[in-house]
Amino acid sequence: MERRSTHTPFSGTGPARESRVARYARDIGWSIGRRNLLVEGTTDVALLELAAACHERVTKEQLLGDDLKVVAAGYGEMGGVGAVERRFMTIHELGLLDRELPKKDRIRLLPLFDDDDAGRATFRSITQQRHPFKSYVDVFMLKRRYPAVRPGSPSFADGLREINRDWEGMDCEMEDLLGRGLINAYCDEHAGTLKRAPLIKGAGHHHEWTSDGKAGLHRYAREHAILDDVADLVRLLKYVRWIFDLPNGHSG
Amino acid sequence: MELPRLHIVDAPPNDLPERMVSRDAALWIGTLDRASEAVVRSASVLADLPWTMVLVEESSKAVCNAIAATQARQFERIRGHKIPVAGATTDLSFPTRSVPVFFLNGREDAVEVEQRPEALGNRSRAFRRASMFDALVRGGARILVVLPGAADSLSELLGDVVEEMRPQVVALAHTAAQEAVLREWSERRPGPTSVTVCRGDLAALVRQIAQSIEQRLPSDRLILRIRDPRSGSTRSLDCTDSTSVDSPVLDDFTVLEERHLASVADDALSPEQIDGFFARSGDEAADSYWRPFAAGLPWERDNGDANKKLLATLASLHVASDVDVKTLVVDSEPGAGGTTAARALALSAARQGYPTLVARIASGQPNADIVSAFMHAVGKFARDQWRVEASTNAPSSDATPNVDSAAPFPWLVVFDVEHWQGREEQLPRFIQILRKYGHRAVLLLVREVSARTPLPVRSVRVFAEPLSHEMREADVERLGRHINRFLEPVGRAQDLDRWHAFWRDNSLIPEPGTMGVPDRVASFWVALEFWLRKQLNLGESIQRWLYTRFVEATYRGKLLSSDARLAVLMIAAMSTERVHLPEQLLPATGADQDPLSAQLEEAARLVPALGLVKRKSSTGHSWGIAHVPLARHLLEATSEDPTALQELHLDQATGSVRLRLHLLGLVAQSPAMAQDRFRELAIRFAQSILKLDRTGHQEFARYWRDVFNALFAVPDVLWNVSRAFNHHVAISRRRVAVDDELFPDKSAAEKLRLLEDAVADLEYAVSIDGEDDDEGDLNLLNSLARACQDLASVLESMGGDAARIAALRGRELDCLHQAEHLNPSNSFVLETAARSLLVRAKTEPQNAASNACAALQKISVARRLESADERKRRLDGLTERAYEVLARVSTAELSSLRSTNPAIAAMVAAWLLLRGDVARGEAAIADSPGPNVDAAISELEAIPSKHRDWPLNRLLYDLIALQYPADFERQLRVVQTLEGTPAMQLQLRLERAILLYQTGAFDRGKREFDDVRFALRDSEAIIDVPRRLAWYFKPGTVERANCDGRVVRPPPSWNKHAIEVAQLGNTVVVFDPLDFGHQSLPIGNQRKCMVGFNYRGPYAVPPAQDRR
Repeated sequence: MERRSTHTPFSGTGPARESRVARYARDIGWSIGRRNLLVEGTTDVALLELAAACHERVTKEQLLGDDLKVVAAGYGEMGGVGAVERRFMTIHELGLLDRELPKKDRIRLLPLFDDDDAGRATFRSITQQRHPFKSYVDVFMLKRRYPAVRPGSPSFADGLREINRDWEGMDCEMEDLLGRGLINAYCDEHAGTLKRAPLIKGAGHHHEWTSDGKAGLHRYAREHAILDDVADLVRLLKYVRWIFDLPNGHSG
Repeated sequence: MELPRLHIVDAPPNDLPERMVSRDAALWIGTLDRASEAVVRSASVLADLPWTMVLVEESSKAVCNAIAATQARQFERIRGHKIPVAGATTDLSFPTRSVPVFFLNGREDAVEVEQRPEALGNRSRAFRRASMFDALVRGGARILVVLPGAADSLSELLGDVVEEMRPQVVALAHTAAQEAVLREWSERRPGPTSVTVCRGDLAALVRQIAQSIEQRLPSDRLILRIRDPRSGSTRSLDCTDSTSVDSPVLDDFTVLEERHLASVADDALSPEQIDGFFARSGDEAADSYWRPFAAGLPWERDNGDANKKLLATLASLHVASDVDVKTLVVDSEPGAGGTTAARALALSAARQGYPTLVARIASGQPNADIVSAFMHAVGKFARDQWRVEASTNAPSSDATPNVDSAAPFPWLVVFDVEHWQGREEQLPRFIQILRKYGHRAVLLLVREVSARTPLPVRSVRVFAEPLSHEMREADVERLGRHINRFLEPVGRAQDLDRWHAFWRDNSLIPEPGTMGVPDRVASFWVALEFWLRKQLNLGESIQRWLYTRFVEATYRGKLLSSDARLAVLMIAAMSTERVHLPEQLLPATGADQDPLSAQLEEAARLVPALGLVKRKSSTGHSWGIAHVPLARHLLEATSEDPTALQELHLDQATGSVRLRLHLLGLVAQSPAMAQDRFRELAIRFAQSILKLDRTGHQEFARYWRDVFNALFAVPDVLWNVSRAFNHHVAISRRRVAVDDELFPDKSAAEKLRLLEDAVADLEYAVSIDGEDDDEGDLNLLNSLARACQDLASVLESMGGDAARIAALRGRELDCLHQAEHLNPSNSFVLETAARSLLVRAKTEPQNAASNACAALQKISVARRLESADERKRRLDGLTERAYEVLARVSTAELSSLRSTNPAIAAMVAAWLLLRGDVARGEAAIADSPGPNVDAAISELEAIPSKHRDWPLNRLLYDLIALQYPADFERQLRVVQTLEGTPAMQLQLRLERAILLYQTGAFDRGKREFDDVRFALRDSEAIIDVPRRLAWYFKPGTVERANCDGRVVRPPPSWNKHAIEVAQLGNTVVVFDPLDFGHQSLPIGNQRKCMVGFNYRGPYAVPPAQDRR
């Protein structure tokens, strides 16, 4: 058959030099900045913002702002591990497109998963070899402490294990980084908010809250928390700032 | 300062023998003094050497015979056979390993008139000469050695070839007048790159050249170490006579021979061998290339676990009957040692007696037929040897002389990244051919960790973790001590503190939060090479160091020309794609310049930082950069140098990605790309290098218009004759049109144009006759169906012409039917068919439920066939859409359906049950909870048999197989109801054949297998035995049956051993005596066995407890 000419060159000035990751994040409802910590839900965001506010009140140092944002990714609402994988793969693919942008325009997203059954399953799944994501470089698990070693360096994994040895096998959610004094006070005032007795090992603790109990704890923290009560959350934020090379960061 | 171009010497140039061995030199012999026996003898000895071709002015019988004759067989290992040609060469092609001898003026003793000196007239004579000189110019030799007669006009010769070829000319035996001509030519531009006049005695010169080459000759024997399957011991076998010297396998693969395997002491490596090892610059077939491996220089990163895994896999092939070709993978970051690790493993396997082929760098697309032919020749030779020995040594009662006395032994075939990257879909075909000819082999593939296209075959990783540029500090000392063992004897050891310092300088800690997109190029192992050679200092950035060397590179005392620098960048861009750039595709240079090949050779020699390597390939010479990270550093650094970009007219290519794209486009549009020999490379541009989809280069997505414009500039011949080229461009067009996440910036008009053009390209591709290895109808029809489907949907959404939309929908169905006819179990066809059903579910609301059920059925089968994540994700998206349709079926509609169409109602209910609690979008039948499957079965079985249609029965069969995997009677009952329906495809017939065996209908099972095998010969279908049917079970149990077998004489058409199995109604099945620990088993010998099934039929192996 006679062929129709299909190779007239495309004209056009080329695409806007806009971050594709930023555009996608906007489309899925994430309000992001240049560097971002992606946490499970809005309550996690609230706790970290509370910690940042307490810290700023006392020290005048900003931990969250235009340079670092905490974003509720809503892993739970995405629809299972497969959906999280799909979303992250899309972001990865768009990140490849962004490699062409000047470094200052590239978006950094650091997903942080709770150290519980669902979080661990997702973390394991998306750091499998078939995916491009490296554990503790591209995705993090929430831990009570992080070693003072650059994530991604070969000794990081050993350091992480060592520094969290006391709490091996103990889940860690964002609420577990609230100070025990605050939690005890809340429990004393509000009986029946725990599903079971708390796990306490050394300086670490893990509480299983009823859903009302958890909501109440957040309210309580907003009203009563002082800097000491959110010290571990501040430590987490400083650590994230440190690995992003932002001012006021600290290696933990 | 310009260096002199004329050299007058007494001896042959030092580099001539090396260049001849690497087949880079051609010889022209003038009109000799026929009376001088000495001259004729020297000419004939000279013509016997490994030239790339020989051109002869002489036509007398005596001289022609002397020159065409083979004087010394030892050169055949390098050059293959001499092929005398006295007629026009235009239609001729020659094996890579051969020396065409062109008689420019014909031969007096030729029988054919067109080969005689007078030929058919002036025009024919001129044409003959011109065609031979054309072959010389196209052959790509860089050196032209001339042996003129006293009366020859060198001016005429040089005028014929020099302008185009611009070679180094080396003149032997010449007159003063000829020397004057050469002197004058040496200064002309365009002229020879250099002229070397050898003034010595001709006979002495020839002797010196021949001796130098003899010193470089590899052994002319092909001695392999092969594990004797009888004793398990290894032995050397001289297989020289089993293969031809011009076997193409020797061009594309290095066969690891006994001479490569001997141990080498730590202190026995020369500095050149150590450097060559790191630079990957040596000739892979040379003993010297393998000496560092034999000495143990490659650092073992995993304490030998990978080696154990490889050897265990090879050993398993000695005894396994069910799997004959296995694929292992070495995952590696670019430049992190994947190639080295694979080759170290290759050497280890060869030492253990597994014959090993290592695919050469730049050898092009792997060809299974030549591999198979070589394996067959060597295997037959070895088995013949063993048979002779067995019949001599063994008692006569233990021999079965009519039966081939040994099974094939396992081979290892090692491939690098470049051999399969972008060609992954052809790997199953490669394996299929090896299987077809009964070979047993392990394919060891190096793969880049970032490879997005999954391997379409089952594979196992040999290293637990991908090889990377990361290293623990604790390992640095181990590495330093290891390498120092080899550096110490050559005075280059580095103290351990410096090793630590180097590690700290070059360890790239990845930046967090990049979502798997590294910011910088990791290159620890590449930097190591230059540091150890004391070229890179501690504290120096390798990218800056490399770029400085590039900018300062010179040729003949002057800075490298812009043309040459552009060529290096084009080579770098191609190297990032793991493709070597053929010399013929380099841009032409101006008349005042030497050819780029000459300039690149000097750059490669003087600027090792560039890692430039020249390789001999099937299309001639090609160029690459030895390590991908070097290529990336070079491109990154260039993209940041606006002055260089301006000088090279690349200033429109802002950013390293666009620069790379632009350079690739320059290669793609080279006029030489139209030549047949580059057809495969041209197609690769559309198929992988410039492919736009999620398995292609996502970083090019931003510049999709530039990508298409580069493809549009590929010579027209590709567009006109290649189905594959049109197909892959059409795939990219369609992907850009429909993927709004990756390609959001396009107008509605562009979207429409992309789809219209995709349909037009595919319609054209379907209409032309493809060449033998071109794209088949199946894939084209499937893609055309998809393109029509998408175009119709877009037109619909834009309120387009209803008649056009209807025509597109009609064409879509037409293509789908044709594709389903060709291969109904192809997962891509199933996916397209499911999409089509879902579109119809929307456009025909009255049939929404039945279409969604049918779509789910197809998706379910397709998902079972797929292992690739990207494909699974797409299928999951479709599943989701199908369930959305079902979710819209209200309770009222469902109860109405129960009376009007109970089969559809039951299927809707069953699918909704199967979805159960499975996470959104990932529904696969196999993931459904057992009680839900049971409930779904009940729903379907509640429909009376006479009201069940085939889609219902097909779903019922799948569910029963899942839920009651050992209830073969029940499965068979359902599968029998599918006879004569579209569901009864080859896969189901295979399963029915096995079910017949399992239920005692052995004869019918055998006939069904015969039919399946027969049908498979003309089918593109790939079928496989499901796990539940892999073994013959004791009736009514899930226990593998221990059977009683008796060895019988195989049926006449079999080339295999046969055993009659009592429990299978005395059915005769194949077996391999080696599995039973014997070379052969006598007729009548009785054995306990188990029976397994593969797609060819049943086979017997020893009971589990007896298996080795």
